Amino acid sequence: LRTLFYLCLLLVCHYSIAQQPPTNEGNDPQYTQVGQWGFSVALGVGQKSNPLKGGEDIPLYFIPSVHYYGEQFYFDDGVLGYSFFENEQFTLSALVKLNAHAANFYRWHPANIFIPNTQSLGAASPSDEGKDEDEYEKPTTVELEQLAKRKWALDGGLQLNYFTDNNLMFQAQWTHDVSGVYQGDSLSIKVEKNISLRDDDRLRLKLSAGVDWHSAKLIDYYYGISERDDVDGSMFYKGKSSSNWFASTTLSYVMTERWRAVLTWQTSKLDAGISASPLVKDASINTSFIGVAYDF
Amino acid sequence: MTFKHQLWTRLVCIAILCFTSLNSQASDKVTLSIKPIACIVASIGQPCKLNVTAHWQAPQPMDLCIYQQDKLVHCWTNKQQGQKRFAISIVQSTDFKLLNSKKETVATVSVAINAAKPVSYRRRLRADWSVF
Repeated sequence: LRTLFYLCLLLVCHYSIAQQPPTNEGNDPQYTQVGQWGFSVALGVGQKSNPLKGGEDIPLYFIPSVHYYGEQFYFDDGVLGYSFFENEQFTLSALVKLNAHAANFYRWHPANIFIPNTQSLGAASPSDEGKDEDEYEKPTTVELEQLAKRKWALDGGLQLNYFTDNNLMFQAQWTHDVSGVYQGDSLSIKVEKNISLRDDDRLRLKLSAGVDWHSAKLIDYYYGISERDDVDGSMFYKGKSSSNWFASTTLSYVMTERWRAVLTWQTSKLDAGISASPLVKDASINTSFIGVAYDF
Repeated sequence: MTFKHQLWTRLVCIAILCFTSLNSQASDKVTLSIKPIACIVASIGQPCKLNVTAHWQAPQPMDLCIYQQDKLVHCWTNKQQGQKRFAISIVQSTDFKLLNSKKETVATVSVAINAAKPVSYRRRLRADWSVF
């Protein structure tokens, strides 16, 4: 079945490249029209690794994307923002978004559908469905079923974007838990570079790297183990603030006005504050995806 | 007078006659003006409703009719000039034409429609990880 899927994907790519030359080469994907909704889907194969003990990797076959930008208000794949200052180089915005760490404990958290975020640790389903028999024999210190429910949280904060030109961006973001779930903070710094590999701008490479800092309250709420959990006291763990480095690269090829082929890979290194938790088995998260994207 | 001189004299006369004729045609021209000449809407596609005043002038009395595109608006009979105020509703730039009794267009003016907020674009502030 998988071979058939790959063959279909190849055929779609070949057909699109051979039959439909691009008619809108001048479109800059970094911009969007004000006042117009944008819908896209990516179809392909990919995976987001899950560093949690007993957690399953998340397969990526279908990734939807929704965005809307008004003059100041915007919504982009789960992020609701308001840009109260914007010029050619700087954009300062207030935003709210679901905290991605809750996605580690819920398969169908929006962060696992719209944005396999670098902060995400994958989804550890509390059910036993889909586990290999061998997995039950592995010695796990803490079963996810023993954990108290980790609630979804809503983060709110500020984001500053600095564009040196159309191809290089720096971003700084501060968010705080405005839902009162974990009552902590996060800071994020990222640099992103877009490179056009062909004169006609069809083949593009996006490179980004940065660091996410999370306060001890956040890490302790999601990865700490305490009296709230049905776990022996010897397994208790107090989460510590963590700085997680990440890097990603995305290669995209514009086949037609609406179709693009995409290949992406990213990795995130988990700081000791997270990786030392008895819940975590891997100190990194890797995400990869190859497929085609269609803009409606 | 040599043949060469005669030829030059004739050419100069012809040139003077042509120039005079052109000047005469220019002064015969019917002039049409429409005010206002442009309409501003919030965004392209929205209808623009406004009252316009059409004014024309001709070198001699004529029978003329003014049309909005192909729609008759008003006619004048044996007039050397005329003025008409009327309401229009347009969604795109529109031509107003003066036609004589032979249905020949003798003057044309276009009323433009412009958007106060033309199509604008913003940089996307994407999520940290996106294949889009």
